[in-house]
Amino acid sequence: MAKLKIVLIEDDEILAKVVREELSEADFDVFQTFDGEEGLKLVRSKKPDLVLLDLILPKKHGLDVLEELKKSPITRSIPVIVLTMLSRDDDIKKGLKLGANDYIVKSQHAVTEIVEKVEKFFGKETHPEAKKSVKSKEAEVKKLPEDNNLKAKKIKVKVKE
Amino acid sequence: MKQKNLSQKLKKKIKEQTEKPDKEIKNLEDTQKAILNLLEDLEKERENLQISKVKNEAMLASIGDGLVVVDMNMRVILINKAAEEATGWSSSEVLDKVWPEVIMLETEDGKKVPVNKSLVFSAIHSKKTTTTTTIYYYTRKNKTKFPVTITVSPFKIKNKLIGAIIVFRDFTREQEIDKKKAEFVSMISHQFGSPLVGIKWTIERIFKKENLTIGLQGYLQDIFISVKHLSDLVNNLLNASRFEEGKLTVFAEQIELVAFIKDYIVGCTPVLIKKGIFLTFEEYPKALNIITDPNILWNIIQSLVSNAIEYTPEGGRVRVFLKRKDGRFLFAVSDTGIGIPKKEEANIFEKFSRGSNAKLIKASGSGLGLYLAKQAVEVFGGKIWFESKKDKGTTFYVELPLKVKSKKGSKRLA
Repeated sequence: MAKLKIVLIEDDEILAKVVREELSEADFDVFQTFDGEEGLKLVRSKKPDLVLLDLILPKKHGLDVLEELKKSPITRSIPVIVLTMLSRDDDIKKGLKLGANDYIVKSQHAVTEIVEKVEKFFGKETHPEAKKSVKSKEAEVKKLPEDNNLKAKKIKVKVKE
Repeated sequence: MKQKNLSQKLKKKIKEQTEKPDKEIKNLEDTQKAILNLLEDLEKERENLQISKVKNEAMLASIGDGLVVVDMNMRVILINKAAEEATGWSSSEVLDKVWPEVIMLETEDGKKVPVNKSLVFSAIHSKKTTTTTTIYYYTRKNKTKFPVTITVSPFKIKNKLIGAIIVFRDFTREQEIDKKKAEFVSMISHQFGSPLVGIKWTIERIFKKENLTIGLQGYLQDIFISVKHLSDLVNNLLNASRFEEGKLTVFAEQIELVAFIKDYIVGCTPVLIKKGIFLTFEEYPKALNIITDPNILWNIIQSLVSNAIEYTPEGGRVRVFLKRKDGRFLFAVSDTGIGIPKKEEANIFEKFSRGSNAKLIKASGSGLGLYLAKQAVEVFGGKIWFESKKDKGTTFYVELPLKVKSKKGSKRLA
């Protein structure tokens, strides 16, 4: 089976690198770009299975990218998960209204959780090999002191329309 | 002889006649004097009145807030300069007009407030001072709108209600400052947030990818803890400003409180071991299902328990209690810590306030934890208080409703 394709549009180099590496290791094909305009082009040319989209981006705001993707019949059906730093309802609401499938507030998650979210999104039966790696991930992450804040945030927050 | 008599009589009469006017003149003169005195007094009184009028006018004119006085029918009796300037209406144009009709009050979402629901109406009819708690808008003569805060007080003379006094303040500048502040906070959230997340995620990667010596693992853990402190601080600052904006969203959902608290306590284990503190969850019901915003509640529990751990010396004890109490529950955290100095008790919930003894133990606290806890408790309509003895320990109590309502706002707690 061909690998699932993900386009990652994220302007912070370090965050982009970490997410790209994690997703690649989880067996996704990742294409990444730093700004909104390039991101739009990349989605159009690669037709990925999922777009991970940051909101505050150079050249074109993430919400505008999202709007354009959802306007075009070619890209309309590609699912988008919004990655944001802001936990403001307004932005999240706008994103969901424009057709985003989900959102992730970056500061509230460990990077492994983002991969888990993506895998869950595809309803992907975790590969035995991947499972092993998830387990070892867990074991190793536990070496880090618990970030208690993250726990509460794991409680899924629903945005009422 | 007869003639002599006659002439004497005549003389007497003349004398009488001439003396009479003298007397009358004197009387008249007295009266005149009295009247003059009176006039002088009156003049003085008039001057005094004039001075007091000028004073009043000067006072009214120099008040920065708009001031309008209306009669029982809400018709304008008086309008000060600030009110004229703010609304664009001159005194002669609005005198005797119904104020709520002239100025047309609107709510924040642009709905017109009918005259019989206006603040003026309700102040006159309830005979109580009414103050706006949200922003309203007034419409100027030129149809533009501006945000105002308004206080309307019933106006009484000798206990008889004769109208109302409206004091309003143009809120435009404050609103601009609020907007700038919100932008600044959002900027901080993004600009501080990305590098912090970058560090955290990179540490995660290192743990996952590299074979680390025990020593290196320790250093990385220290970095992780520092980053966590820093991101907590950023979050707290953001939360403080969110509470202050008063636009916090409450997402109420059902949770089981006992498990929720245990979950938090389990997360504290590494710190408890490190500090050598014995924490027990002593008294609690079997299960307690409540409807609340878990995010906000988490912040309250975290603030109280983490403070108790932070300010209790090694070997000390922290005890947590949970009790159901009618439609509410009582959550308490008791420690054997440093306590709160008596004279600082009153300020302990204030923003950036820290106990003098707390500063000695830990120099770097933000003084936001208890402030935020109190704000959060108030959002839920609950109570927070404490008992403390310096060097013996402190118990914080929080009483909250079992059920809170969702509230639509524009921001969640970070």
